[in-house]
Amino acid sequence: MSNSITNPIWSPPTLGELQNLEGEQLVQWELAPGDLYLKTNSGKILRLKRAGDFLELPWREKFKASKNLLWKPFVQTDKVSDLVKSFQHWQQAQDPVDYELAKNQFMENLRLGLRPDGGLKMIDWSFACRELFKSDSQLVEEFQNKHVVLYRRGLLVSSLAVLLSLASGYHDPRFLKEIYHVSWWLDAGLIHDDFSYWVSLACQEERWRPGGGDALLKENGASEKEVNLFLEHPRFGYEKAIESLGKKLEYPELLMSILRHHEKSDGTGFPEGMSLSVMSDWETLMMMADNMVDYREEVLEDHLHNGILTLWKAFQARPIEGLPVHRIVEKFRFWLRHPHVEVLSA
Amino acid sequence: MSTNRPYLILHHAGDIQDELQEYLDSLQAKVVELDGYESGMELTHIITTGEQDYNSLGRMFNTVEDDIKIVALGVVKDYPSFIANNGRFIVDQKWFSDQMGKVALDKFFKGQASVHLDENFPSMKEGSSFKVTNHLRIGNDMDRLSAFVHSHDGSVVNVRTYVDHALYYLFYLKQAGIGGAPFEVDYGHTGHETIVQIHLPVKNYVAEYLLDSFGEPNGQDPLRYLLAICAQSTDYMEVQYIQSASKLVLTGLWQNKKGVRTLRFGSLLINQVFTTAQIERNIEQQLMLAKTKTAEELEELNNKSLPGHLLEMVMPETGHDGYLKDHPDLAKNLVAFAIDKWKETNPDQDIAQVTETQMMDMLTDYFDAGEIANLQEVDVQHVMDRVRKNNVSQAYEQEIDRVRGSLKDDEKFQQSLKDTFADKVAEKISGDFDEANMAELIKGTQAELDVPVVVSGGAGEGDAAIMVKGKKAKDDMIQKISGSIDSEIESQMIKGSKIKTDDFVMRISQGIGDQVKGDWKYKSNLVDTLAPKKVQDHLTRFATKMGQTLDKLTSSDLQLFAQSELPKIMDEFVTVDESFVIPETVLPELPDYKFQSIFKNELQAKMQQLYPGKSADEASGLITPEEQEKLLREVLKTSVKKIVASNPGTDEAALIKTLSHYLKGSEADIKTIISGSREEVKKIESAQVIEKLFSPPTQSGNEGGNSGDAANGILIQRLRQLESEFNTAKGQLEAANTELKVLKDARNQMHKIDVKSKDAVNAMMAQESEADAALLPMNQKMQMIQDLASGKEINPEDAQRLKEALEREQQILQAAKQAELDIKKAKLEMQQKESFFAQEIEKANRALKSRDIVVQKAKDGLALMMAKKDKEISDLNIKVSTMVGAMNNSPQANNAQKLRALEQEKQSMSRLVEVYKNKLTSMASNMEKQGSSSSPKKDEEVRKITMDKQRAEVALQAAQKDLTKLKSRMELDQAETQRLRAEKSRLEEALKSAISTSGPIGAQASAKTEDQSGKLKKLELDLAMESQRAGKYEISIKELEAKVAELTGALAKAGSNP
Repeated sequence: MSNSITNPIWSPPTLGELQNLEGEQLVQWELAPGDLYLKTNSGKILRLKRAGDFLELPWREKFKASKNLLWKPFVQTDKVSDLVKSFQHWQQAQDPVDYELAKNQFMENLRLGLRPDGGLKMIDWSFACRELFKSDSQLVEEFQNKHVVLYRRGLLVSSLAVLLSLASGYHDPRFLKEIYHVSWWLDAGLIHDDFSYWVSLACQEERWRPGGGDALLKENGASEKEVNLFLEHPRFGYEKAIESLGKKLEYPELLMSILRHHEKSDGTGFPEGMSLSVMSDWETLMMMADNMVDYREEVLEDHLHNGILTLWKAFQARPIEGLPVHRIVEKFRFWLRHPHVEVLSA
Repeated sequence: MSTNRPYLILHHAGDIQDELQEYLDSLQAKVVELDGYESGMELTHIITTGEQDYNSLGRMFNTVEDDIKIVALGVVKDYPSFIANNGRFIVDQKWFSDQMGKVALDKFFKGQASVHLDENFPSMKEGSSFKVTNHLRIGNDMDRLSAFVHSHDGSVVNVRTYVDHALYYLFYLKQAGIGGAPFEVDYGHTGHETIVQIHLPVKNYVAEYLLDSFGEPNGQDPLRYLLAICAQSTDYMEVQYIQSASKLVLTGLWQNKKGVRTLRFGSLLINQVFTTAQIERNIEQQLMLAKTKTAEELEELNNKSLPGHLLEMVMPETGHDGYLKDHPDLAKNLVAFAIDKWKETNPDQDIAQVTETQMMDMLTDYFDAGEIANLQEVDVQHVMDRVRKNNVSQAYEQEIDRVRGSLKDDEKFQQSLKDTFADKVAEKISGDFDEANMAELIKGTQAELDVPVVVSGGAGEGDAAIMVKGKKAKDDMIQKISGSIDSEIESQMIKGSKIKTDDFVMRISQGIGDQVKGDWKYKSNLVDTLAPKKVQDHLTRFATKMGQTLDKLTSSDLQLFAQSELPKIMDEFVTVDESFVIPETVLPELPDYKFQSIFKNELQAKMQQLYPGKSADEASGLITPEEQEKLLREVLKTSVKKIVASNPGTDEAALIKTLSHYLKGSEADIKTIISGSREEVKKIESAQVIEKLFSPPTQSGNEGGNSGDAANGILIQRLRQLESEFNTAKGQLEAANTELKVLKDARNQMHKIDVKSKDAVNAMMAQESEADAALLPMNQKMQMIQDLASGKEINPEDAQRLKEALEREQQILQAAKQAELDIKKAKLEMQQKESFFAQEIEKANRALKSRDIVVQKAKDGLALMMAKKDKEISDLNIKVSTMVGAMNNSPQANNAQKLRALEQEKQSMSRLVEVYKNKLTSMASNMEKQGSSSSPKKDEEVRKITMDKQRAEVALQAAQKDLTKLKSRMELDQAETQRLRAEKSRLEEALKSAISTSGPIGAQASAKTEDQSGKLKKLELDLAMESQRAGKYEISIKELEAKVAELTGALAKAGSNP
């Protein structure tokens, strides 16, 4: 796989690169559209939040009155706003022709925008998805407080799942919304007292070779609890999601994706070692999104701050044998390369 | 479900064409003609035409219960009865000439299925797909599908009809909580066929959901006919349930309008969809299988031991940081070894007194020195701590004894120990033997090879065991002299004092050898002191015959005597007693001669092997010194091994002496070698004991009955037997107690009767005595009788008294007979009662037993039922919650609110109408006022206005009427809503009661809810229409108002310009 980082994500900024941030402006943000800094009395600059971080209300209230807040914008709010409007326009179109036109327009904007020369980054798309589908703030906050990498993954995995859904022909906003929400729960099983960096690496390793996660943990002397958490986190997450989301969903079947996101089509996955040769596309969407997003923070940040091709190339470089996602892969590949027309079967 | 059965197909009707026959042959299916059918055949399919009475066919062959699938080779008009009787395939045989037809056959017979169109129909060339999440928003996708079909010469109308109806059917499933979304619609074209496939996830899909949807079109209940329309709209329709993935796949296929049509009528395949009864039957079968399997596994488990070992209980985990912490098995072995070793070396001392040095010494003898090297001080301390604990050491000792005992009975193991001992000795001796020794051995061997081997008991009597007669004594010695190791044929006795005879025989044997050669002192001693008198006499005669005196006899003379004379002497005083059985005490064989013989034979054999056909001299000339040394060492090793193996260790001293003599080594060295070898063998034995101590017993061990577990097994079996005997005895005791009680009762009753009769007799006797005393004394009576007998006359008074006395006696006899009869009756009664009680007890026992069996069966049945009911209740709960959710989300929930809004709207409209009415009235009166002074032109205008006003009024009245209607309609709607609410509550109640009675609800309830939802939707639409109409009225009123205003303006203008 490609581990190369295309751009350094963060380096200490100079004062000239930073803009003043008004308290009123801060209060309106739920996610940080850029890096947020605090200038101390001694003249030092401290980074408070990264672009994309969740801004809890108490935190916003706390810093609202501060006169020393600075920020460096990353998220292109105008492009995010355009995307949101374009999507809403499509969904609100009543006339079939208008509907088709609006849909094609939106899909093209998205496809071209996320290409290298399109100027749209995955973090922008994540912001647009957040605005369109409103993720569960409580869960998001819990993710961020417990483990920031899991939060950052959630941000990317959920928006990627929506993107894959769109490319695969799922256009119903209610379905897309639920895909977005459920995707956030893929890692919910890892929000646990026994979670460690090694467990996240095991999840990473498992993507490349079945059984690799377990082996990695054992090779590195992980505790029994860590191994257990790794092997059971799909079930933990699924049970949590059932309890929390189950009754609210129009498509509760989607929750099965949480349980199955580490399964393979040849029975080498876990927790049930199922053979998944008869899965529909929607059942494998989240599995693919989860597989595409890295657990390593530097790679993850690189993917967030680039267009889709960086992420796609990294995924393409990995073996996907055993993952029942080849239909989604084909459709997505087709969508990336061609102007938006009806996606043909592979 | 029938896939596991071999295909047995009944050809009931219709012609089977070649393609189908070939396919069935390839499946190795057996096709039975109707004539050849016999009841009891386990049919899998019935092939028939489409014109059958499927109900009677189903009843005749029990097609549903036995899952016999019906295949119709012609048009089926009555879908419902065909499907209800397990009809699963309607097909035109002509289609089997196409590849697609063969694919369908594979699906039907082999159950092949996929959710992906290209996998289901590999000949697919191009296609597309769309996802349906909202059935109200499929128009655009349907248009695109239609365009695709149209461009491929397909039947657009049929395809649209099929997809529309299929989607609605699937949405019904979703609403009922059986199906999930999204539905994936894939479509494509193979070049000859258009195919549309829809799949969705479903839960617990059963054939009942499908059967109901193949009915006749019905205006009220679309669910009843949706699939029938689908089937009639396609050339081939397939309903496939993939149970493993819980997916339902509906496929429609249409052949091109142009080209050859091989599907001449609508075909249908329903695959892997089973009725609830079939599923239940399958579950029961699986359950039975599982039960049988479990029983078998349990039986198997009964013969297996539990994991772990009792010794582990007395051996807690190592709690220190030494080497043994990570090697718990070694820790256990060391403890066992130390306890065993201590017992061997310090049999009289308690191991609790072991010192660290002693422990270290013991451990250094442990058979795996490498492990001992790893030990740390804490480990040694740990082992000491363990062995010092009384419970640990005792438990281990007992186990070691048990295992060692079992190993002693293991002949193979004992033999392997002997072999190992021989190996070790031979290895050491041959290793320590230098060239000089070897040369000497060869030399000695050559010289002695021709020495005759004389076996005690005399030549030719090798098989005899002799009892030699000696002098008579109380302790007649019985000693077996073994001439050979072969089986004994007869026994003889040597009588004499035990010690003397023993020594005699021994020394004669030894004397024949070379130890006493020329040693006259020995011989003299032998002859003088030990030989029995007869032997001495014979020897003296032998010496005289030789012309010598007894003391001059040479060893060769003695040898000659032993060979020729001794056997004769023996014959003289030997008596044969075949009945006598001699204990197996064998005098040691003479290893020296045997060694010579063995060595010679081995050497010759090896030389022959190396140089076949050569003499010993020729061979020795050919062999190199190195080869010779190697050969000799090898032969020596083999010979030593054999000689040691033949000496089981009972006479180690003799062995040492022999080996020392022949191998020219000191006895001390040989002893060291032998002891060392014994030590090594002991180590092996200890290792084996310890290994066996912690290893689970083998099956053979159980069978052999030597191990503790086998003993435990026997003990358990014995305990069970005792328990059973105890139970029987307990039952018998209870029966005996009951019997005793009955007998006691009877006895009491008897006693009472007895007492009563005695009392009666006594009373009677007393009465009689009194009467007798009053009437006639006994002697007088006897006198009178005698007088009468002798013919004397008695006076009439006496005669009267006698008569009375006799009558009284007669009465007493009668009473006694009666009493006797009563007693007999009572006895009989008692016997009858006893027998009755016994029968009753037996009956009660039988009843109890049968009740136990019934209770047990009921328990099992209840457990199964409980599990089943639990599942049903859980399914019903899910259905109820889904339905409640659906009802809450349905228009009913919002209906009240909408009605309220409409009511408000209606009221505001009424108010508006009133306002306009007033306005119009005032406008009319104004106009009238103005009109009174107007011109004809104005009059005309006024008339127009008046007419307009009237029209407006009429319109207003009409609007009011409409509003009234609307209002009443709304009231009706409210009533309907109320009714629906009540219906909902009733439904909920019905569901709840259904849960309690666990009857299936499913599709019926869903359908009913759907029906109600539909009605509500209709009402809502009606209301919307009324509102729309009211809106129109409002607009017309506004228009009127505008017109009136315009007219009023015009009138005013006209008024101001006369």
